[in-house]
Amino acid sequence: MSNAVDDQTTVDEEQYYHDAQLGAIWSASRTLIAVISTLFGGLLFAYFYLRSLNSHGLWDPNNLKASFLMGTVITVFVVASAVIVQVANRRLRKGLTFDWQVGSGVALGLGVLAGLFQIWEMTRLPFLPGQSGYAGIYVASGPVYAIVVLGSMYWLETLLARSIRSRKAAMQDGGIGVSKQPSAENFRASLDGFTVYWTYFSAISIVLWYLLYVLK
Amino acid sequence: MAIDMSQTTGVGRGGSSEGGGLKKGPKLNAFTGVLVGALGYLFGHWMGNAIAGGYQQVVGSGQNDTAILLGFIFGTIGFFLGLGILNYPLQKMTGIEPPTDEPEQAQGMMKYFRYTLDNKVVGIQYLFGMLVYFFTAGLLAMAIRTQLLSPTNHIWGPATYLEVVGEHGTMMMMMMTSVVMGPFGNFLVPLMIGSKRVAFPRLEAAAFWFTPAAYIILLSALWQGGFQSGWTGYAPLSIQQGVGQDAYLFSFGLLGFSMICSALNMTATIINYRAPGMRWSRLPMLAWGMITVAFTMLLSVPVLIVGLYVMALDRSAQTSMLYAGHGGSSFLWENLFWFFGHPEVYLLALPGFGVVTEILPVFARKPLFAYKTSVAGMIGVAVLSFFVWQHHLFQSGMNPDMRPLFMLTTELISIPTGFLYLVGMGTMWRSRMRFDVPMLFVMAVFFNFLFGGITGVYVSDVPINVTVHGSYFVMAHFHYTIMGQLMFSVMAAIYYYTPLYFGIKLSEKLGKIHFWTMFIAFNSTFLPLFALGLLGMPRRVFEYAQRLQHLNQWVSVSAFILGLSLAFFAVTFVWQLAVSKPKSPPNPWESRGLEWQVGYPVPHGNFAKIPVILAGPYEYGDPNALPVAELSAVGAHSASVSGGDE
Amino acid sequence: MAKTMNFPTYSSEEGKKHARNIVAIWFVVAVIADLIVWFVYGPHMPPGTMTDQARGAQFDIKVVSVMAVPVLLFLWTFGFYAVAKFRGGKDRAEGYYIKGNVKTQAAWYIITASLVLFLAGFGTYELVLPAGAGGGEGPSPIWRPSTNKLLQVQVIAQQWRFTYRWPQFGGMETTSINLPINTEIQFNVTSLDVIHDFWAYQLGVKADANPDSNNVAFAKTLETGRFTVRCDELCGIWHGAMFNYGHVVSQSQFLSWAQSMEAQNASVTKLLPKYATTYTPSYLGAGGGYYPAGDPNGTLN
Repeated sequence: MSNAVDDQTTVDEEQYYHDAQLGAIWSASRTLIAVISTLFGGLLFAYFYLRSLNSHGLWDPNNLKASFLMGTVITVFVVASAVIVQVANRRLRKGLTFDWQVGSGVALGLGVLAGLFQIWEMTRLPFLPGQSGYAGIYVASGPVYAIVVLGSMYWLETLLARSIRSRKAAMQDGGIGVSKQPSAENFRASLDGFTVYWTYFSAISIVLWYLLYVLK
Repeated sequence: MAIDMSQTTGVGRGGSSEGGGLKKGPKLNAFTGVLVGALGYLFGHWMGNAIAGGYQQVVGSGQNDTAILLGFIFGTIGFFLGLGILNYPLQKMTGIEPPTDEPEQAQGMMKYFRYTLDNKVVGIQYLFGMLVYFFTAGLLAMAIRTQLLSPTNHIWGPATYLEVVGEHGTMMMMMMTSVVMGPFGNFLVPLMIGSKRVAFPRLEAAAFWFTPAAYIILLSALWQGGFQSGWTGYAPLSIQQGVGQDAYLFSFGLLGFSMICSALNMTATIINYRAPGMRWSRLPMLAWGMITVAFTMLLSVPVLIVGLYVMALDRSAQTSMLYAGHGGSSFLWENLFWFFGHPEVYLLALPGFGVVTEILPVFARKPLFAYKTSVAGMIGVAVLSFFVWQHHLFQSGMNPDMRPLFMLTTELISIPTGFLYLVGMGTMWRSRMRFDVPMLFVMAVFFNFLFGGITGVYVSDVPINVTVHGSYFVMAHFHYTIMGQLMFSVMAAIYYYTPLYFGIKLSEKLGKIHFWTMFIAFNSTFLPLFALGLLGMPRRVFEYAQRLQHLNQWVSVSAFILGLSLAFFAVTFVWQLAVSKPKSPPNPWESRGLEWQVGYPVPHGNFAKIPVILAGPYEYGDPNALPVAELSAVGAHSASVSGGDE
Repeated sequence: MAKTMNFPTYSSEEGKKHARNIVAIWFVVAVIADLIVWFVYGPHMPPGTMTDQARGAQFDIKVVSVMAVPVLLFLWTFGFYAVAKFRGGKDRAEGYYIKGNVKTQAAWYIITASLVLFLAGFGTYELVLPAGAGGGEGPSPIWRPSTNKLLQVQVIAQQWRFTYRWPQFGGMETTSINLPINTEIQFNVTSLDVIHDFWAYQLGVKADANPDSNNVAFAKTLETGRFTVRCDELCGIWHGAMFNYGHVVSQSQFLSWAQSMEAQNASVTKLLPKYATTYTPSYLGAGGGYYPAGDPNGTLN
């Protein structure tokens, strides 16, 4: 029955819950990946189901797709945003806080633009929502995509705002990217969670791009 | 330093000093929430009519699904705004990191109508919320049984009858997903794992406030013509319906978000916030139930949300994904729905097993038998639940050649479920059972679920399924698993945990009256339904064959007695909580569980110090067992097993 | 509240006695119950004996029951025995410190797993053998009767009634259904609007009626008599009233009924859309030309 913690009579509470919170951010950002997978998994299931069923040849009889150009722009923006966040995160770890802020600002701009373009595209589709199976799926996935992108950008925005607000405080020991302060560690945990999540999402984006805009 | 982003330094720290202007103003609560929510609804409805006035269901009908749905969306956002839930996310945009804790507030009853970060307040909010939802849906069941007293005479018209059936089914199926995780998971899991807080208190609290919104919206369907498609909402019938269907899909979706929020919090809390020494092999069964359920929710609920969203688009934006023949398929809904719907059935059942395995050892005075097997059973059920959804569609003509596979996976679920019976029997074996009221409910769970489980084998067998699919047999089967298992476990948990929640020990005598009437009436209501199903009575019919009248009358009368028994519980429960207040000793059941060691009232912040876990929670019958945890800092090995040293 | 606790001493001999008692009681009760299930209730189990498929289902229910009832009774015996014998007394003693038993656990895993695997295998056998056991098998069934001499009956469900089309009788459509005895029947079930379900209770046939999709079920009639047809999938407000009756009659009676119906309906049959496995409604009515010219009735899907 005895175990190692028997002797450990005092626990540094602050440190304990700080570590727990870093862990929680890690778990939650990873479970978010699972949630986002099943969310788009449901949409992709619908896509493949209707596509393979192709009832009455109405999956996409006239090959009317949403604008390839717009779709490509949106996807490139999202992927570029993810790449920039990755790079900026690396720079931040070297103590280059300003680089990170510029990088994440650009990534944020690209992401928001991608979301807005997606919404804009919904208003100028070359088909009616009920015209084909493809049309239905596109009309369904567009808003989900835009909402998820903008929601992710909200996360990035809070990170950016936090890094700006706490810049001075963290400067004492090398900036928020290397600082040993609990707040900085907390920030980095959230940033890492975001980076992994956003990279994963950009992969989903590429799959969606191929299925919705490229595949005949 | 002006901006301290570190986590709170514990109890007593003030609220954030910056931002959150609303927080400084008049205290926000459920009533301001409803007020702003109503304004939001009006705005959304206006906007929907403005942008999609041309998309009425029938020209000139004034029924515009877009307006209704936008009304619901903005209504919910307004409700959240009015409650103050959105303050935090808005603050975060300015880079402020508010604390994860809030000072203890002595606000009396009012705190239960507020958005609060205290896991215990959220638990109690959930408890009463869930009871209200359960009793509302239960009343609707009484209405159903009243109609079925006669095969031909009508209390309700056929349309109203189906509205009532749909409301009952949807309310029960969507709300009761949180009936254990809400009141018991949120309150008890931090106590059980020895944590002073949960990982994401704001998500947890928001998860609760989704439920009243969903409840009101779902009920609102009744005065918008209802929905006649039942809780399964099969397309294209659901596309045919009036705006009541929008209330169905929106409220179900809201509850989906609620489940995701509370599940994210639950998984992160259990994984990361366990006290030192709380190894996975010592985790209480209720916590195991919660974490398996939470993962099941996280993976299945998004698919439901997609399904409901697709239905919403078909109804409002005029897509045709669920219309057969317009490039869509009605099979798509059946797949999306049941891919969620079957795991859902298990996320109703698993928490019940968590409760039962948690309580049983306390009253058997023995360790939980085969702890690892029972954990494996829960995980096994959760994993297998994702591979069985087509068994709801055995006769649908969809993928007929897959039926042997789904028959196999479905029957395989009996193995991990059987584990839980092994655990139950092993724990009872040569035990010293004490038959207090919670224990009676636990025994009833094993009794009832046996019928549910064994008839599950019939239902999953395709040749038998030909006869019983869609009949009262299936209906009886899942009422045994949900009402007979889940609701009886909830009752067990209520009787078991009121001393901890409220410092009140509910009367044994009244409890026993409640138990025996409920147990007998429940079985008397649902056992004959198996026979009715085998005799050929389909579900959801307002008229039935004359020869089945006697059985139906028997069932109806039993159902009324069941209703009275539950009403008796409601009255005695509220009476004892509010009026007679029978005081409880600190640990009346002599439980070893860590949650019982803190005493009533559970202090703000749960523990004075982080406890160090020394032993598992079920070490009954071992004279040399260590106390479950060291609560005070040094040398408190003398803390008694039965707790109550406070 | 450090009260002194009462820890009784453990005797494994006593445990064996309990185990023997439980098994003995269970064995006697289970044998009696199984005999009753098989011989007393068995012959009356639904869905009866009117078709090959119904007989298969009845046999299946009997087999599952004789396996399930002993399991139920074992748990009951254990439960009641435990409640009677393993009670705590006034001494408020603790139970024994038993956290598991490898042999018991292993036995339980093996027994439950083999029961379950047997039932899955048996269910599959019973599904494949009588041509899909009367269940809906989709548009292209893989488990078919051995003969090709099938009476084709199309079941068309709509809110809120069933009609039947007979391609072998000039494509006539009737509101009633009669079937000849000793005949393999192929039901082609479809719907014009929402999802319904064709449940011919005594025939042991159940198949969802999906709009725009054909769902085939087979049955071989063996006895004459009346059967009930009910809608078994919620289809809107009059779902509860969507039923009618059919009869299994002798082959000569069936032929004379069918031929007289065909003659009687000839003028109407001409106006019906051409027989197809599915019908898609349009402004022209069922079978209208809404869809691409190559596939007017959706027969190619």
